[in-house]
Amino acid sequence: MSEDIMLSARDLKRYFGSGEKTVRALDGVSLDLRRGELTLLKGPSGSGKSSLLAALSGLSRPTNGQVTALDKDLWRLPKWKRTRFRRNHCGFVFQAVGLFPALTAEQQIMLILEYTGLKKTEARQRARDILDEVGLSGRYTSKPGAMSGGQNQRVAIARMLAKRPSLIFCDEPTSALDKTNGAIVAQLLQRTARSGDAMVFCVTHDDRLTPYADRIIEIEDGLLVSDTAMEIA
Amino acid sequence: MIAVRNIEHDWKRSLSTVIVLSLVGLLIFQQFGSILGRWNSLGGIEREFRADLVVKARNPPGRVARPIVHALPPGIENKLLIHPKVQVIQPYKGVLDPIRFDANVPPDVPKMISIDPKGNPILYPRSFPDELLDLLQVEGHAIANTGFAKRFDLKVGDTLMYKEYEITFVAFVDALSDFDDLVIMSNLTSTAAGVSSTPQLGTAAGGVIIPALRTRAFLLQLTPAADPDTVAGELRGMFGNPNVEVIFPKQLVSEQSFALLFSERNNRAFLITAGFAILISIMIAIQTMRSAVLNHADEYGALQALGVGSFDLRLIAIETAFWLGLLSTAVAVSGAYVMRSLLTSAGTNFALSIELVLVVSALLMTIAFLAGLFASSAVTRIQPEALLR
Repeated sequence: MSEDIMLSARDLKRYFGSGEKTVRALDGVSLDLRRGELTLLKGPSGSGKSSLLAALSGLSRPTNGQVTALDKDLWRLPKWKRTRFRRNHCGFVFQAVGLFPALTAEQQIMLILEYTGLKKTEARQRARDILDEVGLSGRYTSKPGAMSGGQNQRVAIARMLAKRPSLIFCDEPTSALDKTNGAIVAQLLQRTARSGDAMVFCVTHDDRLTPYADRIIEIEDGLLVSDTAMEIA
Repeated sequence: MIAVRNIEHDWKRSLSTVIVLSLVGLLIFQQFGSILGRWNSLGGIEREFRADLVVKARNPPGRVARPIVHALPPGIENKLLIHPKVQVIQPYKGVLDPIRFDANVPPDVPKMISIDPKGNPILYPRSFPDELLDLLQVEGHAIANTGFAKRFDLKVGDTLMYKEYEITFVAFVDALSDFDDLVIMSNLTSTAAGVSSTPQLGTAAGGVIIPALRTRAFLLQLTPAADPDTVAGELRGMFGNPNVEVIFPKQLVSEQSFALLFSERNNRAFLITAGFAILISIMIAIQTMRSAVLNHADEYGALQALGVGSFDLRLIAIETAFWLGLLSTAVAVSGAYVMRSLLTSAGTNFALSIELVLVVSALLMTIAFLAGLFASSAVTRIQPEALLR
């Protein structure tokens, strides 16, 4: 695997059902994702976007094919090793932010950092640093109910970034956000891809993300139909 | 951290779990407290015996029954009289036959104890003052517990007729309280001497009927230097009858209590109800906690995606259950002490021992733990890919 290729998929297939009713969500997808790139995956509803993201990130086993992530054959790892791999190397941003309503912004991040083995004081410091980075300096003690959708999405991104992941997967991270917040989140993802030692793979319908992307892949009926490198802004 | 914060945040849901669990705790306290209260009061008189040994007929094996129900074979008293270390022999004349006001009222189960006013009255409880003993010196005098007096609307000086003998109530006390509050301690020595083994019912004043007395056991006081263990062994050898047993008063009390717990229909019903209550509470607690977990499916899913393992996620549910269990236990125990003060002030037998508090607390914590354990399996069934829209 080339030094820049962080994740590689070969002949990924994901079928649901059997016989005549078989749904081919992925029908032999191969792709490479490189360090420093923000890649967008676009396609109509039911084209296989989520199935591809789930297979690449180790969330859902493909019917067939291979995913090599950071030189590891992801789907050959036992479940507990895959979970550990995700803990050590993967970050996720979902449209549903998945923040505990009972926890403050700082605690959301500390929670995940403590699971990685960080001490409480260290986790708090890192949580505050990362919240500063995403522009939420004054929101350490705010709970999700007291923040806007955009701010909550930034907390979710901060939670993911705090682990310093190499492989970042996003599912419609800006779809529910207004123009301003959408732009902030897009810039954050672009900055993370370009400044860090990471790649960002983002499933989206949102055209507002396009100017920030390094590469746009399109999928239809479980097959990749285009793969376009964007001009670096 | 997350468990406590979730409890605070979902306080309405948490409160409903705490209410369910603490009500179950209170129910168990009420049931077992009542049983233990009855247990203590049933053995109350025997606990206060001044006897060293008890000679009684053995109950048939394999059946839980009150310890003194069968009549002794004849000739036992004569054998006791010749043992040099037996100082006082006193017949125990507890009667467990029906007593009724009239034919239309269902029978109650009274207990009537006759005592020997001469010599050393072994049945006379250690805690009773000497004034009461003096009152019982007169033949025909009786004392009963206050519950009995209330139930039959008796006052000091009232009389009942037993055969042609008159029993006069000279005092009412609390220490004679017993199962169903029906105990009379009476000096009927000469009366009992003339009673045949077959009960002959007599009509008493006010319609109360008291059956005849039968000797079911002998209470023994030994000479001061005698060793009760040795004498018990000697007496067993002397009787040579497997149907007669020589036991210690403590054993009599525990047999009595055991019989009450497991042979009384009401108590069995209590235990079965408690069992159902526990099962229902486990189911409700599991459902409440499970719905609390599923309510946060997105959050748990995100944690799973970020690499938090099943074990750690399960721990969140179990820790939540632990804190809810602890809260419920605190509420239930506090409620139990309030309940005790209310019930005892209303004259009900209710015992709240530290052992009972510990057992019920452990039970509530176990229920909460089980609920947490089942709820935690719901956590691991959450699929993080479900977060992908």
